[in-house]
Amino acid sequence: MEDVITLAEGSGGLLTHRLVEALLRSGLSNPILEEGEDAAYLKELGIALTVDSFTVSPPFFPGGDIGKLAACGTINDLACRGARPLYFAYALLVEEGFPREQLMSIAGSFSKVCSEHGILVAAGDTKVLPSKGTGEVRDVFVSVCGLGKVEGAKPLGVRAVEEGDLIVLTGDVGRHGAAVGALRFGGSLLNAPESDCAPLWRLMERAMEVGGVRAARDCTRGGLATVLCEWALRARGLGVEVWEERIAVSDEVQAFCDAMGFDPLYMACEGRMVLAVEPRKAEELLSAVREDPEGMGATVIGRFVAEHPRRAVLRTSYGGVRVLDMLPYEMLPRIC
Amino acid sequence: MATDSKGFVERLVSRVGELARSLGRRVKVMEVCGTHTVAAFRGGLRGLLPDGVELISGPGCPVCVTAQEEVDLSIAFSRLGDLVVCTYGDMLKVPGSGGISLALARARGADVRVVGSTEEVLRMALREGKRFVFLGVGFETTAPATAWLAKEALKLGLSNLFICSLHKRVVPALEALLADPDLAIDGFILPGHVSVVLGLKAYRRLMEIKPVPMCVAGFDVPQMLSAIAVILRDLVRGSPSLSSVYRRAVGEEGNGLAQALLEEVFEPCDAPWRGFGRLPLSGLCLKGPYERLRAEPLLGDAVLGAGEEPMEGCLCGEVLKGKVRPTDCPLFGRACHPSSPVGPCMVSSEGSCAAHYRFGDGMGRWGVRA
Repeated sequence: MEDVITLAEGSGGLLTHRLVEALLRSGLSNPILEEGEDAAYLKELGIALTVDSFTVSPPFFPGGDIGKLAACGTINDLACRGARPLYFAYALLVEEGFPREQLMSIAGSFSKVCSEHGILVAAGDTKVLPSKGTGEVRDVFVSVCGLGKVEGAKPLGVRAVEEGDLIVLTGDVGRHGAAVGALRFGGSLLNAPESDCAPLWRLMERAMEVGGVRAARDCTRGGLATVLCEWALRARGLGVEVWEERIAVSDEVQAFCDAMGFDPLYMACEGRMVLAVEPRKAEELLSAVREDPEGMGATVIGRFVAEHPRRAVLRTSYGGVRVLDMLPYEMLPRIC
Repeated sequence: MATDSKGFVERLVSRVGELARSLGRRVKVMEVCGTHTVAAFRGGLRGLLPDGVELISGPGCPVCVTAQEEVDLSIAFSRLGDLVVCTYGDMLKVPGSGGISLALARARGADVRVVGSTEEVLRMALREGKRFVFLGVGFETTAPATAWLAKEALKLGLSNLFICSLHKRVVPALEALLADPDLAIDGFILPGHVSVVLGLKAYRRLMEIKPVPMCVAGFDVPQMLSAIAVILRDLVRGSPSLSSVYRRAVGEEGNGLAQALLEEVFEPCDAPWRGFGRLPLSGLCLKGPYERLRAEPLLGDAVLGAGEEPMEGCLCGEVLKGKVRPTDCPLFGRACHPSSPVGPCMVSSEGSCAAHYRFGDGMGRWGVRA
């Protein structure tokens, strides 16, 4: 353990988990927090609560900006518990020197997504930070706290999953990670793929209307593979099995990943949901979800099994087997 | 992936099986490229090979073969004031003597920046007044980009840009492997990207030293299986050949422009390799007018890390030569794993140990049947 916090501990994989565990041990721990879902369920109030910070750099990328990302990300975390988003509170930190017009544009993106969903931004805080460096790039950070009403008798969660439940993925993976990564590492060479940043509450509404949804997660930092690993660890006594040929990856994302040595399964998505579904409801659910513009690519990619408990396993297109594990460190482009 | 590709792979698997049975003995095929190591694991290649065909990983991960003294050198630059160390990402976490890495140096305040290209380095050096040291790591694949940077630096008369060339040449390492009496590699899958630059011609003289089947492959399972089939066919016929199945990218002559750049800026020099020790003419050093760009003199009399001090128990060097499997190293999975690596083979995203750990072998360690 180093004496200082390192960037790798923010990558969303194993090291982040360890850091969070250590933080919890300092007295924060409680059963609600320990559930480990994307939003907390406050039983007495029938409400889901979540908070997230957005630090994406650069703040503008093909397909959106940090404002849109903040709104969608928070909506999606609530949607993962089956909660309708109702109120947001935001905290904005902007570095001195950040272009004014860009900040207004970001606020506009955020508010557009909120108003499209009837979300009231009930509270907020704004801070300007003194600039740190002499470089040209200035930072802006947004934190959002979201509150939603859980529709249905209880919130969705991986503890409800049973053997044989199917795993549905709503579209192709890795777009957001590739979009931002291309800007960061691709320089002037690549046409940046577009982020899939999108709000998924409407899609979840359709899914829950059909019924049979046991759990949901949006695959953000750490990508699809990380969600599958976490599900395998938390689904009581079950393992996860997915089939590579069912997982769609677009050509641009694949090309970017090949060039960088990245794995599309670990690249962030910001508009994709993974659902654990009762098998008898799967077909109906797929039809319903495919009606949604964000769900047109919905497919069954795998299932929960009794074999290899606590392990997520990928069956490759060639009939080989690969165990998915938590990302042990930040992904950095390979050399040659 | 197209469904006809799956049929193609099935036929290849069957062909490889036939050839292995014809041959009637165990064979060891070495892939010499970190990207091949990863591609093999990602595609579950080992599970598709018959029992008698063993695929082992070689010294094709540039970060892994960077010698300890070179790692310590890189980290020493980060301690100099008013200086930016620019590096390709994969070097960031490699532990130097004493456990510090460039990542940790950065966390503690050193200006260490990850770059995706030498273009970025040039832009930053033009824009900022600090001194910039670029760590040139990689084989002949990335060396041309470093050569370009060197030329630009001279052309533009930059006085704040320096290059620490840690580039290595692949062919001398292959020579060393061929010359090793203990090694007994039956065939090589040659690196794809290096071959794009150097062309097949670069390997011809290896066939004169010790004729062993060698085949360049691209970076997916069908390509690697095709190369293995070619190697086995050569063994069955008793006529080793040098060939390529990576047709769309690799030719006999390679890339003339890249080779010219290398010729102009670098000359082969002796260099230290992890696992191999000092190999003659295996590194690339700045020459002639480009010598003044060398970063090493910036360190003056600064004391570097212990350098050759081997990390207690780490078998990275033996793994790189294909003599030891990662899983045979006593530290593997215990004291050494990706989030707390002892050696570079576990740190690098294309390191053999890292690949074994992350992807498992389909059975055994994970208890999962193929």
